[in-house]
Amino acid sequence: MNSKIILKASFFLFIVWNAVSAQNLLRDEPQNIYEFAKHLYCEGDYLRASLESLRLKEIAPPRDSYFVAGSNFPFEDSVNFILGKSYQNLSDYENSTNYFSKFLNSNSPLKEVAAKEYIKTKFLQGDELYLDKNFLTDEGYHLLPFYYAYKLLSELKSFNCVDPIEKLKKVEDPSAQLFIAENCAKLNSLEYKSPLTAGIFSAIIPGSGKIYTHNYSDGIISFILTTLFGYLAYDNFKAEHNFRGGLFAAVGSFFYAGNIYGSAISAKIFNKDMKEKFISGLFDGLRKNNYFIDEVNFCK
Amino acid sequence: MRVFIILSLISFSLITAQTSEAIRWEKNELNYEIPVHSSQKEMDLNYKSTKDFVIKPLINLYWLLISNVDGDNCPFEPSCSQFFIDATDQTNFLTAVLLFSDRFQRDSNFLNRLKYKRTKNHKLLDPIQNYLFE
Amino acid sequence: MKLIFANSFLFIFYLFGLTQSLEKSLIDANFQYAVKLFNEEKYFDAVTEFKRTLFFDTENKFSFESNIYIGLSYKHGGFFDLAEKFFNDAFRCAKNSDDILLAKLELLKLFLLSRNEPKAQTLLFELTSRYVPINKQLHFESGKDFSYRFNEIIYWNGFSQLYFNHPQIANSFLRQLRNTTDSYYPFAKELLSITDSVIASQKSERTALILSYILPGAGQFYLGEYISGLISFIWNSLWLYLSIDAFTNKREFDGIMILSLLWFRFYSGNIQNTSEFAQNFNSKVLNKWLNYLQNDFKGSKP
Repeated sequence: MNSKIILKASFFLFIVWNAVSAQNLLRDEPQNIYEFAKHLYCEGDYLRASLESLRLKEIAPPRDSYFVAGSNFPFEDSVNFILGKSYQNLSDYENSTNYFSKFLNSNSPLKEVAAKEYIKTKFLQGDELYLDKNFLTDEGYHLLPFYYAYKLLSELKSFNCVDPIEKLKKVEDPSAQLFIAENCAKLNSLEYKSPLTAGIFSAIIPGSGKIYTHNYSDGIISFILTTLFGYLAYDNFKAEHNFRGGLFAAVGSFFYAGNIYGSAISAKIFNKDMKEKFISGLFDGLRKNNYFIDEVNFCK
Repeated sequence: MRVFIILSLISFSLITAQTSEAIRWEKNELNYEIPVHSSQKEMDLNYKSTKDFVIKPLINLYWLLISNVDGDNCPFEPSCSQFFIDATDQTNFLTAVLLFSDRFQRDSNFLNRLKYKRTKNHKLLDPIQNYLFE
Repeated sequence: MKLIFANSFLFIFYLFGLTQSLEKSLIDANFQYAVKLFNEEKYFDAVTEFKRTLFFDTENKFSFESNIYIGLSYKHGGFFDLAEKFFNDAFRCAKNSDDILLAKLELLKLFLLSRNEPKAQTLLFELTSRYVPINKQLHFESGKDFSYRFNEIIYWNGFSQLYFNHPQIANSFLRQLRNTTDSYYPFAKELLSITDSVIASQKSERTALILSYILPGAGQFYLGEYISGLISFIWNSLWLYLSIDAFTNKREFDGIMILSLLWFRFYSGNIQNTSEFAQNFNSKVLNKWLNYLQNDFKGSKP
C-alpha cells in the first residue's frame, strides 16, 4: 500500500517536474496565449492568430463565465470571435461560419456583431442567406434590417436588382439604404452590348462592330485590312489576274469572317468587363463602409 | 490541353514570390541560378489526334524555318501560332480559324496595347481562354 | 494522512520548479526554444515563437535578434517580402554599428535570392561607400574603425556582382583584397579564382553581335548555334539576292518591298537571336558556378 502511493506520487512528480521545467509558462499559460493570439490578430497575422486560439481552446477547456483580465468579453467568446474573424480573413469561410454560428444561440455580449459577421461570411462565401430562427424571434438584436440589407447585396452580387424601393424600407440603416440604392442604379444603368448586333454591324461595314463595342482602333484596322484586300482582289480580277485576285479574295474574306466573329466575341468580353467592374466597385464600397458592421475594439 | 493549362498556371504561381501566409508552410528550396528564357520555340511533337498530324508538322516547320529566325514580331503571349494551336485544341477548326483571324487583325493594330495585361517577359497577355464563352 | 504528505511533497517540488524556471527568465527560455526550432528547420513554428518573444519582451532585450531570426525564417520559407519587412525592423532595433551592418548584409542576401538587382546594387553602393576606404582614407562611424571588416565588404561585393552575372566587376572588387587573417580572406580568394574562370569560359556578346552584323549567321556559329545560324544565313542571302536581282532588272518597287519587308525582318531577327544566344550561353556558364556556390562552397552565402 505504502509503496504504491510513493510510486504514484513519484509518477506525478515526474510529470509536474517535466511540465514546469521543460515547458514554458510564456507559451502555455492561457492568459498569455490569449494576449498573444489577440496581438497576432491585431497585427494581421491571421494564420498564427487562429493556430494560437485553437491551442488555447485545447489547453483551457470552455468555461462560460470566465473573464480574462483586460477583456470586456467572456474568454470563450473572445477566442471564438478571433477564430471566426481570422478564418474570414484567410478566406476559409467554412471554419469562419462555424465559429460565428456558436454565438447564435448564446447570450454573449458579442452575439449581435458575431451574427452580423456570420451573415457577412455567408455573403462572401456566396452561400444563399437564410434566416436563423433566433434572428426572427429575438427582436432585441435588431438583426432583421441587417439581414435584409445583405439579402439585397447578394442579389446585387448576382446582377439582380428589381423594385428596390419597397425592399429598401426594411433595411432601416440610412447609409446602407443609400449604398444599395446607388449600386442598384449603377447596375440598372449598365450598358450591355449585343453580340448579334456587333456581328451584324461588322457584316455590313467591316470593323464597325468593334467600334460598337468601344474597340475603336481595332475596328479601324479591321476596316482597312478587309477593304484593302477586297480592293486588291477586285482590281486583280478586273485586270484578269485571276490567281492573284483569288488569293487576295481569300485573305480578304478570312479577315472579313474573322472580324464578324471577333466583333461578336468582343461584345461578350465588353459585357463581362462591365460586370467585373461593377462587382469590384461593389466590394470596394463595402470595404469602405466596413460591411456595415461596427468594429469590435479588440485592438487598442 | 487542360493539363497544359493547369501546368502553366502552376509554374506561373511558382515563379511569383509568396507574399502572405495562408497555411502552415515548410522549408522552401532556394535556388541561386539565373533563369534562362529562350524565345526559340521547341518543336511540338505531342501528336494526339489526326488533326495534330495535319497541323503540327506544318507549324513545326514554320517555327523552325521562319518564326525562330525572323525576330520577335509578335507582341502577344501566347504567340499567334500557339494561339491557333490552343484554339484548335479548345474549339473546332472553323472557330479556331475565325479566332486566329481576329487575333491577327488585333496584332496588326499597335494602338490597342494598353488594353492587355503585361506578362513577366513584357508581352501582352492574350490567352485563348479570354475568348471562350460557355 | 499519507495522501496529504504526498501532495505537500508534490507542491514543494512544484514551487521549486516554478521558481527555478522563473529565475531563468521566461522570455529567455522562449527565445532559446525559438532558436532551437529555427536550428531544427521548423521555420513556421520558429516565426511564431520569435513573435511571441517579441511580444512579451517589453525591455527589447531580444528585439534585434528575434527580428533577424524571423526574417531568416521567412527567407527559408520563400516569403521574401515578409523577410524584408522584418530585416528592416531589425535594422531599426539595432543597438550598435555591428548590428546595423548585420541587418544590412541580411537584406543584401535577401535581395540576391529574390534577384532584385536594383535594390541589391543600391545597398552594395551604400555599404561600400561607408565601409571601404576612398582615397586611402578609412571611413569611421561613431568613432569605430571598420577596417577589420574590409575583406567582408569586398567579399560581398564580389559575390553579388558575380551572382548578377557581372564577373568583370566582381573580379575588380576582389583584386582589392587585403592579405589579413580574417575568415573572409580565403573564401574571397576562391571567389576571385571563380570569377577568373567564368570570364575565361564566357563568350563576348559584343563580338558575336559584330560578327552577325557583318555576316548574318556568323555570330550564331561563334556561339555554337549552327542550325539557327545556317537558316539565318540562307534567308538573308536569299532576300538580298532577290532584291539585288529586282533592282538590276529595273523592278525598283519589288526590290524595295523585298528589302524592307523580308530582308530587314530576317536581318533584325538574326541580330536579336545572336544577342539572346550570347546571353543564354553566358547565363548557363554562370549557372554551373552558381550551383557550385550554392551546394559545395564553404564560404558565407545568401
